[in-house]
Amino acid sequence: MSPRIEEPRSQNTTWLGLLTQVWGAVWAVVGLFLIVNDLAGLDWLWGGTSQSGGVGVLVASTGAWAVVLGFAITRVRAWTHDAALITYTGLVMIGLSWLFSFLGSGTSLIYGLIHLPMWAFGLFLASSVSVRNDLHGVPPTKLAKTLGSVGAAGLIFGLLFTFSGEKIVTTMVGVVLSIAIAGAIFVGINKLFDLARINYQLFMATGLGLVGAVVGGLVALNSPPLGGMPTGIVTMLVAIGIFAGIGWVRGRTVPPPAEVTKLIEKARIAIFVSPALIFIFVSLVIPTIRTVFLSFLNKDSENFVGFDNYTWVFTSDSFFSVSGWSGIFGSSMTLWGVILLAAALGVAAVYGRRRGAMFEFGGSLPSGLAVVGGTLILFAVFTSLRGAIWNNLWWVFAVTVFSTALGLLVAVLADRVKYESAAKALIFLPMAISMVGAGVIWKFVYDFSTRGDQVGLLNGIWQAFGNDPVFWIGQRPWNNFLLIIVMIWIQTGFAMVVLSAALKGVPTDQVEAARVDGATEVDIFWRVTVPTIRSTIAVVVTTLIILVMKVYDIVKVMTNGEFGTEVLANAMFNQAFTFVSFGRGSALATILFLAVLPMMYINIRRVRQEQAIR
Amino acid sequence: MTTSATRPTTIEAGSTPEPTVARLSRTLGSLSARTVLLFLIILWTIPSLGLFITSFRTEQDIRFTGWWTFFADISPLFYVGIVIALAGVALLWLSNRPAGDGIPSLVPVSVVAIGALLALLVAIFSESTTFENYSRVLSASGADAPNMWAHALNSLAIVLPATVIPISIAAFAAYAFAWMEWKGRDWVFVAVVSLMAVPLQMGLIPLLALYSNGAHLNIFGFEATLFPDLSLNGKALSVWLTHTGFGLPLAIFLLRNYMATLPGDIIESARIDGADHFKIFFRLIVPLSIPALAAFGIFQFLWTWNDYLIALTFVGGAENVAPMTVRLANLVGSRGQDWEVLTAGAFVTSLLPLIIFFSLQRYFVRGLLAGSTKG
Repeated sequence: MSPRIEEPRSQNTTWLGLLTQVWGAVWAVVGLFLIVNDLAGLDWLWGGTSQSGGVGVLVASTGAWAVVLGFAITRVRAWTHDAALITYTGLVMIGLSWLFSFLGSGTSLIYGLIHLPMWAFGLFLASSVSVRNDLHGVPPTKLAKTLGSVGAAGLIFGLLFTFSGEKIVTTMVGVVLSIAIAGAIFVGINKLFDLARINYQLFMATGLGLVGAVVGGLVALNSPPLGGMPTGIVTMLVAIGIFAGIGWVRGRTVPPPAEVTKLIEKARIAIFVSPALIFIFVSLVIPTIRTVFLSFLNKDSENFVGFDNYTWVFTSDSFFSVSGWSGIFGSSMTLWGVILLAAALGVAAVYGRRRGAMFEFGGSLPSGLAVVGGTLILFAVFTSLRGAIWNNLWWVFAVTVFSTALGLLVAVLADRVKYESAAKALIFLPMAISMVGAGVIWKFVYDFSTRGDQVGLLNGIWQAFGNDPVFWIGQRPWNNFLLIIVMIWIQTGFAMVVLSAALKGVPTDQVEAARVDGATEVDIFWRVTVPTIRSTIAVVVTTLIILVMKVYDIVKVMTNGEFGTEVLANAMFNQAFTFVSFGRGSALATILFLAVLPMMYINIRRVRQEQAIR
Repeated sequence: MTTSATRPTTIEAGSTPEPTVARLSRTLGSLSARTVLLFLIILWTIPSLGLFITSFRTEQDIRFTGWWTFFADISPLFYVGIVIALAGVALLWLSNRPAGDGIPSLVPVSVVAIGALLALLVAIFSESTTFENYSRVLSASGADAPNMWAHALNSLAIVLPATVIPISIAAFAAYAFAWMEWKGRDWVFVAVVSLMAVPLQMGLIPLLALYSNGAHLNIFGFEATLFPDLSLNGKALSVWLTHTGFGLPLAIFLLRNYMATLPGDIIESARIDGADHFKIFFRLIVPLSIPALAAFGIFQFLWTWNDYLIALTFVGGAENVAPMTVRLANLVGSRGQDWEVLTAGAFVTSLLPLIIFFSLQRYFVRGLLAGSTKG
């Protein structure tokens, strides 16, 4: 506690406190008045045109705050003075904005700058923060910083508010109200179980009465209305009465205290876990079961059609076609891939002999060759076989491999430069941009125009080398990879951040020891660093696979699945919502789910292992 | 150089002077490493830079010339400014070098500032620079839709509750998973975590049905209503609930992992002092878990702000509720070649997440790590 609290009481502060209280109370009343005005739909004062409800909430809360502040001031606390000052400023701002809302009616910028009720809100927040900080003896510089940033936040809110009406305030009020109601229920149930210790009979009656309310509600939902009578309320009241009565009778025999304690303990656990479990059950478990069920029904979910939807997916050329399989062997990528793999095997054999093993892949040469060779072969496969399912697999493979590799590379390289955080921030930046935004950015890079100069960067570079411009997005099958690049661009930042943190955890004494032994940096990387962070790499890979499997936004924005770039999620959405074929849409969703299932298994195993360690 | 060479077990690092050849190769290696890093950074930044520059060019310029011509057309003064700023950076680097105390002196900093300011002013007042695109995207509402400010507000109205609700629900559950003893706890936790892998596309159709029709059970021809039809479709509430449901597994996973690392003896002694779970949760766990809570908050904020699929499904048709991403995607669909609108729109959409990300980066990273680098 701050020593300043011990300051002697003076006449001055008492007066100031009283004044603040009165002043705050007046404003609180005005605010309440505005709220009532808005709720009742009356148009006293305001002409019924705008934000009286929202402003009312602000005014009332600021006023209430001033009252609290007033009490604090009368108890003599030095810190309250600047807080009071700020609150006054806020109140004056509200008054001004109120005044100007009478004068102006447009939303020009100047008007907007003056009319900033939210500014006051920001200041109000700032004053609360400053008070709290001052209590804890925070230095004035930090105080100024907080004030500034909270004030700026208030300004932004204010601008948004001014330009777009009261929606934000209504939303905030809605959120605060719903949180308050949920909190009240939560606290209420908790208190109810506390009651069990004090008065068991009352507890039983109230508890079962609540159950009765739920049962009555369900019954009321399913019963036809009786002429003009509000059936719902009557049904509920009857149910509550019956259940509460049962509770009252049952509660006469009080169980031993140990059992009551056990009951309370169990109830606490249920209270803590059940909200989350109910949400998860409704939005994840039930939908999963239902989607699988729907996938066996027809278009309108009326008739059972067996596996027809799945047969449709696997026989339709746009989803799963293997007709181009011969292209795999004609591709030069396959040839190079096989050569590189053979070379990798050879080098690994040489390394292995040196170490007394058959093959030794730990080293940048053999593993690099193997990865590049394998990638080439898989790319040959993905460019030859067409259909959304193959595209999805290509996405998953390419994004996972490239993002992880590049992320690791950047993490390692950035680790040894001075501008590490700046470098990492720039690589990570795409993560903060929405996938729709990223789609726009890259659509612009790949742009092709039929008239005049090319404005897309890729065509610009392409032309600089003397080639004719190309319609890149339409170049099958490589347009898929152009879309994949966007995802790599985004996800490399994620891989980098996680891997970089793992790199910091590599024990330095091991690295130093290896260095003293004369190992090169590359050797250290492969023999010390990679084995240490192996589990983190696994985390990154599984996360990326799960994430990329569900890719949707990029494809939707850039091609909407045209030109042979369809993926499962986009096809599923189009089937379900554009063609209103729930059966096929659900079948595609189920296939997606089944594909992610192995990752789920790996996830579970990893968590179990972690728990075993703990 | 082989690692199998025998060596005494206690060698102090750096006690022996490095041979010149090794030092040279190390310097060369670090130089090439720097080049690769710089190359990657430039590669990663160029697309965003192109977008940024384009958003300030006039419609005519965008349509007929590439954005890189900006650098050719601009007055040489721009480059003078850049060179001055770079010189300032070099000066800063040199002056910091020997002392290494990290306090930049006034002169180089002001040189950087003057150079940057000059370049900025030249760029702003160049006749090919315009702010028209932004004012078009922001204020001019088309015949079809409200303006971008309204959509920004919709985004906020969706994002704030969709961040607050899951955090508060998940915190309770995470505490129960970390510090309460109950039968089947581990299995339930594993099940919850594994649900992270469910593609959210699975949930869209059933949830849409639930929100627009309620839930009915048909048993032997007798239809029972379990959940009334609230016609939530097209209302922000449906998006909040959906984000809450889909965000919970990750939230519980991250928060539980963080809470499990809190010192058990504090909680044990609080329990001995007679505090119940309720008190322990609010007095001890929540204050101690602030970093993890903040981290997940930022994560959920970015994810809900950038979300497109859920918003499109539930409020895509309702112009007065739809967030910015939906609007931007509609722009791409309807005006796919009007780059002046698209680029400014994309930048406006990304502005808030960028601010949030850069100012709270540290917490965000910590949050990503809370669940992933353990064990």
